[in-house]
Amino acid sequence: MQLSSISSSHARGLLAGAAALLLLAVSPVFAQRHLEKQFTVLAHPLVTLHNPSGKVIISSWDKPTVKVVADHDSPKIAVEAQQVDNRVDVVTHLLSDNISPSELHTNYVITVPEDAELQIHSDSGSLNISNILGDMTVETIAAGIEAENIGGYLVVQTVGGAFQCMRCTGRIEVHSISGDIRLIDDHSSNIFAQTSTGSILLDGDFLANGIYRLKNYSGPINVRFSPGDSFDVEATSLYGKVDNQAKLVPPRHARRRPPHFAQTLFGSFNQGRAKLEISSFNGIINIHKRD
Amino acid sequence: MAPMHCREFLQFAADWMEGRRTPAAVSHLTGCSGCRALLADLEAIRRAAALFPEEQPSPRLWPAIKAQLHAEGLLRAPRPAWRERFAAFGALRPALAGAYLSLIIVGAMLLGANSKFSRANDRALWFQSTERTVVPLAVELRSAEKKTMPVLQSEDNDVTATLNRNLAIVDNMISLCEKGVRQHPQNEMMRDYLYSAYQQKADLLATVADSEGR
Repeated sequence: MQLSSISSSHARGLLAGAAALLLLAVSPVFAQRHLEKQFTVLAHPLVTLHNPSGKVIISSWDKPTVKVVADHDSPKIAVEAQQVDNRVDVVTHLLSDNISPSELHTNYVITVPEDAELQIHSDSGSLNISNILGDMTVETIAAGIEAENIGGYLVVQTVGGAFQCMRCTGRIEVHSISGDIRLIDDHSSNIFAQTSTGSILLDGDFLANGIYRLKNYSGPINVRFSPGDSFDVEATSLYGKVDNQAKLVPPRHARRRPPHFAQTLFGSFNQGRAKLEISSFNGIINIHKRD
Repeated sequence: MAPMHCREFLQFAADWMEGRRTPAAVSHLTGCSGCRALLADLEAIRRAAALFPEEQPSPRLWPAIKAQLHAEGLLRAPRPAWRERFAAFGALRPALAGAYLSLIIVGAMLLGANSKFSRANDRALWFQSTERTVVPLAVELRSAEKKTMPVLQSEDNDVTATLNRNLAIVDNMISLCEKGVRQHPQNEMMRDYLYSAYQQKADLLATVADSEGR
């Protein structure tokens, strides 16, 4: 009897749960909270994303298809993904003026062909982008960005978000105000990184004829080199310090005259094949041997 | 009524441009040809900015300007890009158009000053020249900030906190760089840092303005 009562109650619970799931499945509100779409594209498609807040993961596959999966919890926002010619636009729309920051949160998983070009705008949250060969521009305010195996021209602009690029091979241009910048194991011939109060780490290859320019106001700038590297270096900290472990010979190439009051360092390491320009307003510049 | 000096008048210049005029400022302007010239420059910039169409400018605009500045030797290459803010996400807010126009003018003048004044050793001349170039931009940015900041006061979240914190950072940088330029007005690197700080402020205000519509 006892057993029968429990079974009956359990069965009623299951039925109620199933009914609720059925209602949710046909509800338009539920439909808004999960989106999954695929678009067939040609070579070099452009994918744009505009998302106020959330976690975004973008990676590539070998199909000529862009797949967008989005999830959020709020009925006050809606996700739209649509194709126009060879472009796929993904946007998080705000459906109300009265939305709290937590209600803005939308997570995306986007898979694109590896030759896709990306234009990403995300205010806060995080961005993880990997294995893309096309060019991309990424703009964030507070969102941090982690990029890996990027082959195209990468332009990044953040206000306070940190940026990290690992094993990137294309041209890299990063601007931030207080975000830290980490460039690790990159094989790029052209890097420009600027942050005001954030730190900069350059720990990658110096390619022959490559140009590497690092600039900040007050954070530390750390450069790592190996004995086999070859570069000309010009490092100036107007009110800070330069700490160098590279055995330099007088520069082989012409240089600008340094300000008399600044800490400066000029010279060639090995044949001086790459060019390394580092400047800081009052931060410390460390040019140290790789461990 | 205590007489107003040029430096004090400059603090009021943004208000003056908005039509808010105090008797002390009117009195100072009557007797100061330098400040009258400055206001005339600001007015010219505002008139030019007003002619800007509100739609997004062509993405080719900045490359064309940059190419011209390079051709005239006014821009050293390679130089950190201006990030093509004109062609970036979102439309450029009209309130910032004047500030960006000023940035172009100031950029050309500050970066071109090396050749123009290379034989001038007078530190005071250098300082006056730099200040005359930079002040209109500072006024434009202050004016743009006044119009933009209410956007940031209305919300309290991660994005707003980040924008507020970074505006304070940039303002501090501008202050440090201005001090540096006052001490070493002939130093090209110092002027470059000051210019970069102004540029960052303009970009940041544009980001704030863009965030209004989100």
